Amino acid sequence: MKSVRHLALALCAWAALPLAHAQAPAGYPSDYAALVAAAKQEGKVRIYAATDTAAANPLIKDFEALYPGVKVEYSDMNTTELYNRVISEKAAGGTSGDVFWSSSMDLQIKLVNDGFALTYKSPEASKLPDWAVWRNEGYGTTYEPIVFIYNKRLLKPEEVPQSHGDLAKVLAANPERFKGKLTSYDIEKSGVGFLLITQDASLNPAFWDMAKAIGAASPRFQSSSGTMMERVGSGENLLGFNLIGSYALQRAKKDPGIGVVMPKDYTLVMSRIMFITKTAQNPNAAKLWLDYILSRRGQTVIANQSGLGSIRADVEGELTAHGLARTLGNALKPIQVGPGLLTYLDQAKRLEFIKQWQQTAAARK
Amino acid sequence: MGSLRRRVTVWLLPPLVLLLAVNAVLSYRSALEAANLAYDRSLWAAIKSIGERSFVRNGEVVVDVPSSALEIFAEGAQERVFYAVIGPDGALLTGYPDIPVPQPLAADGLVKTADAIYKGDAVRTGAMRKRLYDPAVKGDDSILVLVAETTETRTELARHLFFDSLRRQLALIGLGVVLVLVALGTAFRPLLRLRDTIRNRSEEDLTPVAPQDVPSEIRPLIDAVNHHMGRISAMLEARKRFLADAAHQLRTPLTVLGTQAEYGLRQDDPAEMRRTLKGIVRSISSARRLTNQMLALSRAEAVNGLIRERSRLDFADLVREVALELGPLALRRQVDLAYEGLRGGLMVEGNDAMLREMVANLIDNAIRYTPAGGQVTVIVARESAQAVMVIRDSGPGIPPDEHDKVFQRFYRSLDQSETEGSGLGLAIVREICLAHAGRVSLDAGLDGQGLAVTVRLPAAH
Repeated sequence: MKSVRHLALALCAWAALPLAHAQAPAGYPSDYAALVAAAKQEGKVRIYAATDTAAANPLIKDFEALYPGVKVEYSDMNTTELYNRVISEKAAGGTSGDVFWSSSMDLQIKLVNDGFALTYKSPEASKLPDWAVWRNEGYGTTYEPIVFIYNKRLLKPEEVPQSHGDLAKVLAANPERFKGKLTSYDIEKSGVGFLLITQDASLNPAFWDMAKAIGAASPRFQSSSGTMMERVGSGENLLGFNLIGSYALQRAKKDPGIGVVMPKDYTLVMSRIMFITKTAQNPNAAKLWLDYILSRRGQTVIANQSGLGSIRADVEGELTAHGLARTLGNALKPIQVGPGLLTYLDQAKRLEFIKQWQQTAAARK
Repeated sequence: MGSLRRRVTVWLLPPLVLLLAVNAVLSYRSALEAANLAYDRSLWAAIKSIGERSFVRNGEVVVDVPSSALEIFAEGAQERVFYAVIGPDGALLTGYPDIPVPQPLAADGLVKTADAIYKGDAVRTGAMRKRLYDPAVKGDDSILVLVAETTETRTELARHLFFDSLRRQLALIGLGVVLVLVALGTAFRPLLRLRDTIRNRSEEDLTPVAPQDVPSEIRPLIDAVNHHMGRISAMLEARKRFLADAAHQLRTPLTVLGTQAEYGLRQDDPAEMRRTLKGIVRSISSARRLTNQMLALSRAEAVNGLIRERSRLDFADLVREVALELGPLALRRQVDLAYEGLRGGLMVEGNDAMLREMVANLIDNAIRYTPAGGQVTVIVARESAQAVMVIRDSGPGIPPDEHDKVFQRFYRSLDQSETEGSGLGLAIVREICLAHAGRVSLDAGLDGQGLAVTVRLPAAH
């Protein structure tokens, strides 16, 4: 009887141990518990993000469950708004968010390049691909292929373009059928749209030929992807290109009329960049959040609940770098997290590009 | 003096550390240079590619920054990058404002790089002036392309190179120190062996140390030690001989005294007894003179401290005074004693009593060895930096082959053995003369007759 009680006590002690250390995961520095304690002292982390609250909610819940005592204050805004807010808050010397998270990779990189980011080597950094980490300041956090969408009911299978080359060919073969039925981002109004089209321009040598074919179809450009998906779903438009795959795939689940194609010649991959601000008031909580987002646990939530796609090779799920590589292989072209993204932010370059794009591809009424 | 090992260490280590410090500064600079050389290339490439895509369209400068210009920095390097293109009128065409421009700029088309501070961060900036050759552009038709990148990677590479070379240098010096210590140990081993050999010698062993077991560097030291030991053993030998001689010399007058006293005891005639007593008195005076001489000799020896008490004195006056004092003796012996030469004004550094003893000995000798009716001349003169005294007599003189021997103690010329004298006089003279850094020499006297003694002493200034 006595020995049984002893055994029970020992079991309790053994069970308590991992609980005490649960907050410093394996592979983390031994003083990580101190960081966790400091974060709890701060009590909260403020995140400025250009990512839907709906996609972020599962992450926030899981994070708060993992680190009780650290609350997440999440502000959702669009990419340009986020950039301007950072700049103006910095200029006013007022308080700012602790973590910035945005799909507008180029604007995020510009903020990092201009010295807004805090240098912090996340213990998870080694688990990320090389292209996703810049200066231990800007971290790519998601893996989102850029896709074509089409209306399944109205488009014949042979009309569905499987690559960028196909797109140009399909449009050129039947200009009347696609007139006013093609949709994509308005690159003047949408930061992501501009980023994606300029990536196309520098990656695809036949880009301007494709632009000509697009222009011939009198495309309808929109500033939000929601409208594009709605129009394609309703049949008002037949084909959309340069849509963020994570949104498109989720929409396709609910709307059986929408089909999604990952171009076989090359599929751009976007990654939302996250960084901690230099002026963060809750730097420890911010580090905890960043580490969580990059961790296997956080990435599993990203892949399976947020639907944004995991950047880690060791995460299983519907939408992961691992899974996509199996089907697309070398066609996957992740957008490098680095100063190359600054090119099209150049004032002169941007105006020049937009001018040329509009001359070539904008709708002729 | 301290330990030789410590001296070597003190002389070797601080200069080595100093050299290391100097070398460290130099190698850090060259590491930085190497890092700059390596990383400046991407700066050049970026600037060139921006320059190539800058042109004039409809009189306006168009800058089309190529992706490759900024992507150069994405590959591996983790630097923040800033760029600017400044138009002919000095206005910013595109890019970041206020990037510091390296001065002086190179000729157009060439890139000049320099270190600078931009927005509070250390950056490496590169600048190139590019001419557009378009008459439509107002003023100087050249634009300025600037690209700057932060320097973390360069500094890290330089630091890496630097610490790498520092580590190697430290290892080298550490090894060098160990080698020096080992070499010192080996080098000092013969010396220590020599020390043991000498320490283990018996107290009376004054034989030279064998020089063949000794490193050539310390052979001069061993030679000097051997030489010194030779002198000591020669001196000890001389002392021994002197003691024996002195004992022998003192025994002779004592024997004579004994014989005289015994003879006197056997006499009944008071006149004869008185005559014997007179003889005894003479013998006693002769013995006293002998012991005085021996005392004088002992005092004159350099090892005795007395001779070192020196003062500045007038040698000419001194000689004249001594000659005057000996006047009565010369008169008694019917010898004509004459003094010639300087009347004062010949200064020397010396011991007054000793010099008097020396001069008295010489004049006394001259008077004693000169037969009645003969003459003794004392001459004092200055010869360049020397005080010279010559004493000539018309006595029997000394054969030239005995000139050296007469300076030995207790030596007496054979044919003069009947003359009273201790045989110490000239030995004393020589000793005093040497103690004053002077020389004494013998020559033939007046007209080849008799003896001339010359003493030369260094004159005081």
